[in-house]
Amino acid sequence: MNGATLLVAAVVVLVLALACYGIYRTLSTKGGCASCGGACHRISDDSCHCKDRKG
Amino acid sequence: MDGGLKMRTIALAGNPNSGKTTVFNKLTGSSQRVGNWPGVTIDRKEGRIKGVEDTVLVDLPGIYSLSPYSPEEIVSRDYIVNEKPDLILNVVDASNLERNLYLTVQLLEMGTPVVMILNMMDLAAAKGISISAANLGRMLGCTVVETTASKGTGIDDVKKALATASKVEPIPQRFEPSVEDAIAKAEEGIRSDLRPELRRWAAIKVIERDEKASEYVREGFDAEPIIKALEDEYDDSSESIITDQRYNSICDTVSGCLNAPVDRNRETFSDKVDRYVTNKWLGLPIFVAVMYGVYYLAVQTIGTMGTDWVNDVFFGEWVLPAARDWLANAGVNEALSGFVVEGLIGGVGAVLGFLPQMLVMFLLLAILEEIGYMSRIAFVMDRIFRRFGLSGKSFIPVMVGMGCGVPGVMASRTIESDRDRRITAMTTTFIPCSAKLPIIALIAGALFGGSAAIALSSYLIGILCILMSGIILKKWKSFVGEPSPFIMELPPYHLPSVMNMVMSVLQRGWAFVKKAGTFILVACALVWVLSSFNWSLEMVDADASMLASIGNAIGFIFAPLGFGDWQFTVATVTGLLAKENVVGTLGVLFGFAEVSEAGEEFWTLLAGMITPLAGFSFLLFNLICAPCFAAIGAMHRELGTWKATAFGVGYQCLLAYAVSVIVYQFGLVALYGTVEPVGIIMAVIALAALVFLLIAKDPFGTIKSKVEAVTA
Repeated sequence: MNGATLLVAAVVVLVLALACYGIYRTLSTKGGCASCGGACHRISDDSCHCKDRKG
Repeated sequence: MDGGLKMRTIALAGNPNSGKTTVFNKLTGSSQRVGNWPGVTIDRKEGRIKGVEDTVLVDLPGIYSLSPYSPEEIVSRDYIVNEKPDLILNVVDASNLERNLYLTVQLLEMGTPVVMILNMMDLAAAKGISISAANLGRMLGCTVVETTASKGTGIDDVKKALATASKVEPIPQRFEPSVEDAIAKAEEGIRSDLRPELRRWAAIKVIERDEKASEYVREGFDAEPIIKALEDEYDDSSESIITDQRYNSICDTVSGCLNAPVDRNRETFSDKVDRYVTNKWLGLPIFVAVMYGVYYLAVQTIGTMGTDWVNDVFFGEWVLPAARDWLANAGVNEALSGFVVEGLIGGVGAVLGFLPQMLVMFLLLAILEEIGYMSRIAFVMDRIFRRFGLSGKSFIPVMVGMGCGVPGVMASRTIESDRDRRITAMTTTFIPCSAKLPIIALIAGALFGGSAAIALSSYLIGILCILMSGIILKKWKSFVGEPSPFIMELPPYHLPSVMNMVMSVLQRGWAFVKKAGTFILVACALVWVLSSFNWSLEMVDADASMLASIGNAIGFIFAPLGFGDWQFTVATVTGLLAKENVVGTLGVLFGFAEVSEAGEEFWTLLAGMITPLAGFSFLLFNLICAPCFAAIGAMHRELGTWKATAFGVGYQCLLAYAVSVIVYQFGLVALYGTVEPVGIIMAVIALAALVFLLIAKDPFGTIKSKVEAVTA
């Protein structure tokens, strides 16, 4: 296994880990924000000002 | 609390579509969704006002009064009573002053200082209305600021007014002596722990027989004799007496602050346009023509040019060859190269290729929302929806659902009737959301020459499914009942705000890209691995892979629908995670990354695997069946129980199966003269069941069981 393969494998693992974290963030928060057109899909997104919703 | 200092709280209240969210965005610099129809805000939101220290602005849902008739009114009223804001910023539509002041006088009754924003001054001027803000402020006991928030006019004056407003004492509205006497008597029965400034307001609510007013009355106090005496004197209900006198007082206030009399018979530009757009006969054809235009531009012409460029040039000539060459030159392991190029870039690329079409559609829908056309559609659809047992209010969630099913389902909570609300939450996702657009565009592009008619028919079939479901579900025991009344104010047409449109397109576009980088990426990685290895973990052709064996095992379910091939079966199943996965999965399985001119050849390969009829059946099933997990989660929140959610999801899947099998099997007979014995029997049964459910008066025995219960 050469260095380039290891490097690409590491990048792929990192990208997939970030994607999984993104999925986790989306699924682990309750509710959904109707005021942003569904852009945040959750209540605790600071950019959405929906922190006070209770799911 | 912030750093030990108490934050000053300002509540933003006003009628629906008076421009509250626009004011909120201008004051806080945020980008909440704005729509030119009532009911955009269904919950409260918070933000800090730019340039004003230690102040939190809370945007409340639009309400017409402080009577708890709908969930929005309860949210707003509870907030003002329980959270004690330091100030109320009341946004008033200056072009519709009388009706808006009905809420204002009630807010003033609550004793909290009020700053009134006379918004939409440009529209008022266009209607020939000239208001003396100073007179209005003097008569009501509040600071009045003139604004046109959509253009940013007067926003700085609002910020200045916030500094001095708390020194202005609200002047409570005075009623006729008999009513004032009754209020004074009722005030004696108000709980002593209620804030002094709220006591008069609570007493008026008691007189009005407000259903929640008993919370404010001390134990043992009976207000009924006071109310009865008042009603006998006026020979009217106490609520009507208060309402009448409020409006009389408002009329006096309005005449005292108008600089010139208003010609009420003058026909505005909006009135002239509405004569055609909301016409009984022309309204629907105009809507169909407008939506055809939207899809013609988004799917068939402008959007397609963008999609072709992304597929053919961006991915086909730049990204994929560059990635393939670099990985090959660097000597990266072949399987890993395949995983990166075909699995990750190919899968996500197949989905992202549709981004330009989606952006064009988002822009066109944003324009329709902004100018005020969407509210007319709700009005036109009300006439049709009511015939099918649904309220026109159910169309608002449908319009929101065109962007994303999650807020669409959530928007159903603005419907007062519990039955209508639950039916709407179950059926809103029949309208294709933006995630389903790539499926529509793929099928239209690969099998129907990019015809906009396929896109339009997808949306019309979505509406048809909602209407059919209205008829069928209203016969189910939990949903029996008359549709709730739908009262909606038609906002005046106005030029779209460029900023609002850009924000709307960017927010929706970014949500799509984010989903491509998370759900779609992981799903494509999984699909590539499962379609490249067999159960012994040896690298094999896709047809001998784990995924092929899974797809083949369950493919028989979809065979009567025309797409029993394992690739389409797998794509349908992955679509349950996120609808974009349908296209991503097909992109991986049909080798989006392996062809030079990615888009076209991917479509050619796809067209070789499935007939247009089967493709249309595949499209219908994926449009109507259960939505993605996020939307199912939203359905659960609105329906309250998993049992009801399972009922909703089961109903959606059954309806999708029935519609697809009917279209495919009867299509086979009509177009090709072919009869599939098992399939046609299933189609006949499905059609008979649908017709029975639509026509039979009591298919579930609901009425019979009710009659039996009454007799017993």
